[in-house]
Amino acid sequence: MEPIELANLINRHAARLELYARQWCDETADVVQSAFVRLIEQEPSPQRPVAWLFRVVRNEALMQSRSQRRRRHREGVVAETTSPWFETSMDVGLDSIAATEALQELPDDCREVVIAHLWGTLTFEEIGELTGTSSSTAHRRYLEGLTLLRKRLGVSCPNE
Amino acid sequence: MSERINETPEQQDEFERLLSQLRPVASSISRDELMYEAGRQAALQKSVARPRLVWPLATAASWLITLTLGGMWALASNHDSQPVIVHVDQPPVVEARTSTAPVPEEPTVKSVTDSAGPGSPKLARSPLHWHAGPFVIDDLLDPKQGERLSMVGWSSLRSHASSARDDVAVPVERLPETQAPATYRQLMKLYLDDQTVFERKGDLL
Repeated sequence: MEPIELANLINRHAARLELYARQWCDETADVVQSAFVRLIEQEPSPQRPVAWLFRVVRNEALMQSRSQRRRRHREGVVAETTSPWFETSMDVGLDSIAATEALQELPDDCREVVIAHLWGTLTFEEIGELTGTSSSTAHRRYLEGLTLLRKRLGVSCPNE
Repeated sequence: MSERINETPEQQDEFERLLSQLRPVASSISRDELMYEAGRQAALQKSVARPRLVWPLATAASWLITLTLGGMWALASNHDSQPVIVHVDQPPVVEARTSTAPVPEEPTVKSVTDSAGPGSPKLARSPLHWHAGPFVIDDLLDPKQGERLSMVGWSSLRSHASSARDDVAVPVERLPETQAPATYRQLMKLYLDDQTVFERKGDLL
């Protein structure tokens, strides 16, 4: 992989990948950095590097999540309050902290699909491959997640 | 399935657009650090791949050379340790001097070993045999120069004569040190000049 291509991938997707990993673990920077390093080692490079990166980040984050849970259980530490997942901006009509909390309250499978599609810009087919489901299942979970988010954020459904 | 899959941003509704406008918190990853790490990994991969081939090849080559040289040395030492001694039959003297007697057969060359027992036919040995020791007469002759003696053969003959005095018919002092006799015939003359040892010198000439 060419250095300029790698630099573009880091610029465009590092924050999105961290957001995706944040739903499972705290050490998101380590997870994403490790995924990029593994991408460099791939010979030949994957055909769809973004989808490949999301898959590697998912596996790594889930592994970290398990060891994190074990450590907290062993040490009796209560989970820390998570920081906002989004930057605060006056231009956006949604509160970043409220959006973060609403996302955190979603069921795991719905949240994953919503983040992967809205911020990760993956197609439902790619999400289906990523999560081991069909694209229609991924889409159904996405719609379900959006409905729950609307309720939590107090946004009315356009069809109502 | 009746539901439409919204794949492109144009198909998103207002709420989805609002959500997607939220920007994830900036990554804490240092791009420069990551690029440096990427370069380091790539360099490591290249440097690791090369020795995988180089060292086994170098080891195999050195083993091959060692075995070849060892084999050559073993063959050479075996060849030196098993000399072949040639005895030349002498024609009967009495029969050769009588005119009525049938022409004696040409001396035949037989290859025997020194371990021939007492029961075996006794073969007359040429004086050269005693001086040449384990060396074959033919070895002393340079095949490229007809009857001319090779310098190597001469040096071997002389060193053997020095170490085994009992067998020496000609005193070593009489053997020229650096200059070999030109021909086999000259060498024989050197031997035959010593009257005390060779009583039957006429038979040899």
